[in-house]
Amino acid sequence: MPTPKVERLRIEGVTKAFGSRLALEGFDLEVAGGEFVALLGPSGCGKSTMLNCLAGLLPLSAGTITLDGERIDGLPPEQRGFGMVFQNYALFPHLSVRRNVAFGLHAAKVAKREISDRVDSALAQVRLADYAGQYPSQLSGGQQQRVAMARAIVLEPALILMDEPLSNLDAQLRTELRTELRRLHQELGLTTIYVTHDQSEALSLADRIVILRQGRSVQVGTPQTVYTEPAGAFVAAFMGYRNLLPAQMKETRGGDATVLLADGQQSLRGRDRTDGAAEALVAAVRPEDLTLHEAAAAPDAGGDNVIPATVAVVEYQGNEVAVSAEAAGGLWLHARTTLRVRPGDQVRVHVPPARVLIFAEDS
Amino acid sequence: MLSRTPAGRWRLTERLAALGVDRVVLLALPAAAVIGLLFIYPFLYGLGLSFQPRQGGGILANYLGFFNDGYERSTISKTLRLALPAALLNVAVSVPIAHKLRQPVRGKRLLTTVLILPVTLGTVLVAQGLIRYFGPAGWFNQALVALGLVDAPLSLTNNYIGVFASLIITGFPLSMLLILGHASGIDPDVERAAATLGAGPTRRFWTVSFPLMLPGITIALVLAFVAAFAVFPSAVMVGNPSGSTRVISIAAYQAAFERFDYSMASTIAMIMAAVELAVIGVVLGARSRLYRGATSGGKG
Repeated sequence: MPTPKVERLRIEGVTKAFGSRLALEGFDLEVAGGEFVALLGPSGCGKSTMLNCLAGLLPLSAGTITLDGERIDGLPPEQRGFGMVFQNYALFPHLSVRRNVAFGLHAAKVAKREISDRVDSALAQVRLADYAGQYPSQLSGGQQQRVAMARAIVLEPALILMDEPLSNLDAQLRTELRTELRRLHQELGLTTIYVTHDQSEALSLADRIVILRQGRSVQVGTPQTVYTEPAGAFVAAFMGYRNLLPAQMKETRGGDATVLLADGQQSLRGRDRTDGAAEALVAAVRPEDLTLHEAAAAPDAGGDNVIPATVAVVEYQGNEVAVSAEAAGGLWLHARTTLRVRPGDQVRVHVPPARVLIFAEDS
Repeated sequence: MLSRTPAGRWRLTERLAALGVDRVVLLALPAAAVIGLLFIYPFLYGLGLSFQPRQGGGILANYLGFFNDGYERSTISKTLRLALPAALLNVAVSVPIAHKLRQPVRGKRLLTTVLILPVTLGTVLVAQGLIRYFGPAGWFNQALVALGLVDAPLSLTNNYIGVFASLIITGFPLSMLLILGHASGIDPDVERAAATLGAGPTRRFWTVSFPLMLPGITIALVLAFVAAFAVFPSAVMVGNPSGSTRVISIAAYQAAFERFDYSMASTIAMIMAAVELAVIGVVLGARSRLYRGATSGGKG
């Protein structure tokens, strides 16, 4: 893998206000050269704002951005030397693919001969060598995305910024291009900051994930960490913990907790991730960690930590079905099972205690 | 899905659709008929009339008469001298302003309203205002004299300057709004992308914004020119209608309503149309030379 062009990007206390609304509030992040960092969060969390601030397209309200010790937050975008890939690609519609890719090299006054060589190799990198003469409107969405990539990487930027680059593509293309992005990142030793609201994209691409909520980062960690050890209910919800059951603390002992679910009757054991002070809690469980048993066939199956429920919705998903079931107290459980259940069936839902995370509700 | 009538034949709509005709297009027929009746027929009638000179002398007699008479012939250059610089100036000033205003800017609506006002007032009112304001006894000249900037009032009306000013006042808003309307439709991310690729403001303007604005600029230039070329009220009111601003429409008016030579008037109208078409041809030709390729955005 080639050596990255930067050693360290440091974002400190970055705040961005739009009128009285704070889109970013004291955002800190350090990125090492060659790293692939994903900024993940729901829309309006400030992730795109951060990217635009990095690119120089938005001025900061407070804070500093330094690249290898040099402050860059006052520089206009054209002097930062970062590549950016936009959500809508933002290709130049009046220029051919070749001229689009060459645009930055022309701006940098690179020699003609070299421009031609570098454009050829960038187009080859993104497998678009045969499309050099076409105009953006003649290309498919996936091809346009690859032109946008080529246009950014041809400059060998210190940092490449991507703003939800795959969100306008269909599911199959998205996974294909995801692999391609990761390949380019590795081959070129790029330092990448990638904004997305799609957790699977962040998990599969990034070396490190930053989860944002209302302009602040709530967790920074490797994909494994944020996936298995979410820092709070918000991150858990984002990481596929679809069951977030309202609960109150019954007892806690040595990292394990027993809680009472919404109706106050059903108790559930799990791992205590509260700070001990919170009143309102949630028990977070992934659908794939729940096990379904048919109540009639196995009335005692699953031992304790079982919630009786009635199947309400069944969605066929190939190998298995996704089941939504209602339990006492208006509790909804989302599970996956290979059982052939139908709406109206009585089931017992077993929840392995090790897979239950108990969080403060507002965490 | 194709639905069939009981007889098994496709419905008319679908047969038309198969030919690439949408039934809705038929709604344009009445409008086309009106254009035919109110524009194309009178145009052809006038064209025919222009080849039937009142004094006889062959079908081209009127045209020969116009071009052989220096006083008449000079109306073409007099009108072009007014219309071309006015149209170019209107567009040239509109482009940078529209470029700045294409993004949401505070006060944009107020500015748009202010711009529309002169258009709604009409040329006669503007011309009257000009006489009052720029005339020898007008505020402008009085202020200049009072400030000691000039010894005697400048002659700003009843000459070329007056007509030119009137063309700017009524023509600029139109160019501005046309160009702005087109520029607002350009994806702002495209210019931002150019910035991240290392292009400074000047380079961004000339390599990205200007080419993308060009279709709007061309339309604005053509319309501004055509409107200015047909100048009549202000040429009479704030110009010198027997001398430097005897524009071609005055020549046509005098032929028709002072000499009652409708044939000659039609001839002058046809010459006007030919000059306009020639200029439009040059503008469109220049535009396609300046820049080729699709101007509309891609998918997504």
